[in-house]
Amino acid sequence: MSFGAMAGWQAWGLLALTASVLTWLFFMKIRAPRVHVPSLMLWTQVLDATREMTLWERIRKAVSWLVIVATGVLLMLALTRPAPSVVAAGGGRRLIVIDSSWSMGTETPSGGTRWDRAITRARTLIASSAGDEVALATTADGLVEGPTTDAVLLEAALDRLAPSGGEGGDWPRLANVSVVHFITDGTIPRPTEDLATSGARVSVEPVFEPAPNVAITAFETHAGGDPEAQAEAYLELANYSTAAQPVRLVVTRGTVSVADTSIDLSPGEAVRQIVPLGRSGDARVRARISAPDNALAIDDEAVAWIAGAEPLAVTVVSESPGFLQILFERLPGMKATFIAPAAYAQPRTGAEHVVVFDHWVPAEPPAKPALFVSPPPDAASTAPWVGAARQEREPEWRTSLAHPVLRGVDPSTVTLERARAVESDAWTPIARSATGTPLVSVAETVDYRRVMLGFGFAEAESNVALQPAFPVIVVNALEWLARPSLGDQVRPGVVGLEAVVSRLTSPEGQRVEVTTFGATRLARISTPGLYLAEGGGMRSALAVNVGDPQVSNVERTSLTAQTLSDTAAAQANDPWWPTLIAIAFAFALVEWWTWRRRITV
Amino acid sequence: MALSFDSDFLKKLEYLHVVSKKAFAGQARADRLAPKRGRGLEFADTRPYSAGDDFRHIDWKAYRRLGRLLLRLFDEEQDLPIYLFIDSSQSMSGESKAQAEKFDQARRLAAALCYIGLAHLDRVTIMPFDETVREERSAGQGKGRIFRVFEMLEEIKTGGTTNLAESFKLFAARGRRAGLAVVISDFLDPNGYESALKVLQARGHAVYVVQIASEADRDPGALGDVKFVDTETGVTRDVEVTPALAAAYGKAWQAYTDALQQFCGRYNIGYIRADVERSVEEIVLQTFRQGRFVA
Repeated sequence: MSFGAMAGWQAWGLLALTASVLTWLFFMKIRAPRVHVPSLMLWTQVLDATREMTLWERIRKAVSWLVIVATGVLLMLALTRPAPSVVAAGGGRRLIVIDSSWSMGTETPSGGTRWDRAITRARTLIASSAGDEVALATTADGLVEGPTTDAVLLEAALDRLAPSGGEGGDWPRLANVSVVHFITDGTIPRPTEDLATSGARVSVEPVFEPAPNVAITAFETHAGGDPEAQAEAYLELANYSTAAQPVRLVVTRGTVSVADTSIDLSPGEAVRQIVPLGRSGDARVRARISAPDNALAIDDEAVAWIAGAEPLAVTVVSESPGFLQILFERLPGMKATFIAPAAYAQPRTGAEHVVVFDHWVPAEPPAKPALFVSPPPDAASTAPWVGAARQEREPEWRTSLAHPVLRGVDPSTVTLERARAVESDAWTPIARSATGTPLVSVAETVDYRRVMLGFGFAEAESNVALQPAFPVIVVNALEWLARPSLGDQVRPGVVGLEAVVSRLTSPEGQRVEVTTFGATRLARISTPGLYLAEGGGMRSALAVNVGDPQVSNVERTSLTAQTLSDTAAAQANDPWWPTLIAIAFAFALVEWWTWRRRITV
Repeated sequence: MALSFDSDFLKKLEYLHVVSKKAFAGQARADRLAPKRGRGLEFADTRPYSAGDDFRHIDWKAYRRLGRLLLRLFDEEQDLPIYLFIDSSQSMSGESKAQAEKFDQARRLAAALCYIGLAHLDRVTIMPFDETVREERSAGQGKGRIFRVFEMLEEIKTGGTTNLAESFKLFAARGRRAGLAVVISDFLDPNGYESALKVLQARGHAVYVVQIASEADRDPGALGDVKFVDTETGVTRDVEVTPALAAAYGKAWQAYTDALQQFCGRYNIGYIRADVERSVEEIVLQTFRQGRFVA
């Protein structure tokens, strides 16, 4: 037995004190009112006649005492709010883990969300563990408060919490825990065996209640087959309810609606939709659905980013751009500016995204992402920062690594007359010749991204300009430099980012902390939306969506029927103090009535 | 409380007279037949003349017919000594209003009886008592003295304990002429009333008992833990008054009253119960007449 209002020893003490005081009051001889009588003669006669208390009077007095004590004890029980014990014998440290997956935001038919019920349950557990150390954790954030005996701290922490994903995170760990309370809806299966191995007793506290829902379970944009369309949006809708219902779908690009339709979905049905996006328009695409029976709101909206929607500004620094000029004039989505090396100055005031250095290297490293094409032989002396020069005649493209810059490039079609490369620790070769001369190198740090092609496009240098590899490798390099792909279908939680990403901004304009972990960068994203990623001169968007059939199907749970029934019984026990008060009132009424009727001793 | 009666009631009282079961010798001529022959107006008998008799009472007509000297005898009418014993102990006027009404009721009844006696030239003596007989007051003769009677009754203060036996023994020791003794009391005397009433009877008085009772005497009116305080002695007693105990007390009081009534019947003592809830008029004009105390 535990008590919701105070520690167990306090509650038991209060109950014992109440019973003792009432018993004392019942038998205490209070100062009686003085009643003047003409004579005590007759009273003396009556009282002096030995008067044995009858059996009925004895029973009645005992019952009256019991009723009074029971009334007081019931009122004290109502005050102390007892509940079935949830702590192992001996008490100890408790860990309350709240499932913070998105499905916890489901509106329940009985009112409130599953999260609300979880918070209420957590408050009850905290209140019933007065005197014991309690730690609070969520599946997304890990340990958020405690261990502490200060209920105020824990309550304040509960007020701060909200569902934030974390479906695949590790269990929070805490030493010397005797009981772990895992409050969950069971929508996302989460085995608790790992928790039990530490010796702690695991108590699963379900807050599941089936609810109908419709959801966007997938949403992305990609280049489509329609030549008239810049891209197309792909989305999947699902109806996780037991009844058919119409679902309204609205797709907007920026502020312009590109689709507004209603789809009738059968129970359990999932449909795929492809929405063509025009040649021009905003890069931000947003899909929103609405339906009559829709318990979870977080999966009703999804966002995407059209990578090529904004033209790429390129500055080409070259004495004779030649094939590069021809190429940039024909590449869609490119806005190239050609300048001579003498006109190049730092810092750059232009609005270009990428600078292409053709057969020339600046004395100082460029501040913006840069593509170097066949550095000059004296590059090591004129620009020492670039590294040691190396040259090879008629190199054979032999080895290449899997890298976005080389995606779609067929080395077998390429014939190189000469290769000029530089070598330093800053460069990472991703393609080498048979003798090891770097043919394509990349440099990537938290501050910049650079690509160096060890060959030129003039006829005397290679046949690349005449091969399909020419536009592919140039566009790949420019895209990798300026608009790196940050991945599709990113879900809230801990997200791995490109190493060059140094700044992440939420849809609300808030800075998201980015931490370096080894060679990658990590960010904890707690809400879905379109995030702006910046760093090393590049700028891209990260579309974060919740859409997941496992999260959105809130009609089912992975919890066992036994667990659910146990919890239902426990929850049924929760509000029993009103019953105690009612019983106490009834007792008081009976006692009053018997007194009125003088059915008393 | 000022004593007074309205004129209608006084007129009705004038037609009443106190009935005595015995004839008593009075001190002055009045309109009540005395037990001895005297100089009254009504012829009673004749007897042979003896030397020294008053010649004026010789029946000369009988001498002419019979040749014997016979003396004519007449009934003598004298006054009746009435002793009104009024209980002035503290129990007659306790703390509560109901108890205070007992003494008022006793005084009103005494005043009514006084007026009846005064109207018939009886010699009424008011004798308040508690543990002893206090100063006796003579009402005089004649109904005009009723206002003086009212004053005398109002001057009586309550206090002390009740001791009927000692009071009446003291009265008996004074050697008063036998007469009608009316005892107005609640008779709540721990020493008992039997010996006291017997003393009065033994001295030749015709005794009448008027028991004053109030609701406070019959029912404690309280339940639960109370501290009873004896109004007369100040003695206290803690009592948990339950309904059963209250009922037992009610039965005890009724038994006590019944015992008093039976005692009076056994010893030829007139008994009248005068509850304070009843009016004096009702008690005098109905109960006293039905009890043949007045006629």
